[in-house]
Amino acid sequence: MEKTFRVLNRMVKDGVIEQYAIGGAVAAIFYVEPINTNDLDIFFHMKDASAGLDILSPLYDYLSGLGYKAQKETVDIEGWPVQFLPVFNPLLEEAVEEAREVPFQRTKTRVMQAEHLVAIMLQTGRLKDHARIAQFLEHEVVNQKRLADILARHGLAAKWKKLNRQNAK
Amino acid sequence: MRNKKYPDVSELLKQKDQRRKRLALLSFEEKIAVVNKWRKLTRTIRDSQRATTPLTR
Repeated sequence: MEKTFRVLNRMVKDGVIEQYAIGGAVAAIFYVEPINTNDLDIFFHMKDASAGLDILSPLYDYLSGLGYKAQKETVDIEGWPVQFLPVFNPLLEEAVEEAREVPFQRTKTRVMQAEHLVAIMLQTGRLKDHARIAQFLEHEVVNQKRLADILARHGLAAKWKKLNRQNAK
Repeated sequence: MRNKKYPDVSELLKQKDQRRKRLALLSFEEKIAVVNKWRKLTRTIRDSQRATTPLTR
């Protein structure tokens, strides 16, 4: 996976993407116990977000030039299917901007903060997201004050209350 | 049925919980190594299923 991160960092250096952060299951793994996953979710933003549906084309072209081929909705980069997802709402944008830089062997990468991940999982709202939120709380990796602030700013406080009410039953 | 006795698994569940906590404390690299092992295992199982599944029309 270190080689995969190196390619992602090179994409930033070469201006293909402005910034990225790891989200999804691999980001969750950073905070809780390992989860069986088969792909790496990369959220990114670009300087020019006006490209619409073609936003992925420059990325795919660039990666193809490096010999990494697209497979359905992912690109296989050094053995990991990577799914590139442009930030599509203010919460994701903030999560990418405020991601923490972490070392992986001799390479630095960026992982979304635990509180942003919980907020994104709450927003997405699938059963597996709720189960993962429970893991984050169980392992006490969430700063409750910071989470409350994020939820309030992104209009998710009511949804959070509802989830807690459901869990209390 | 009502009088049937079941074993006490509370200690097993406690150990399971402790294992999860231990896994959560591993470094990022160690956790990814665990995931890689699972991915290889999944691929092996999938390949063997493909090899043993009879062809259907």
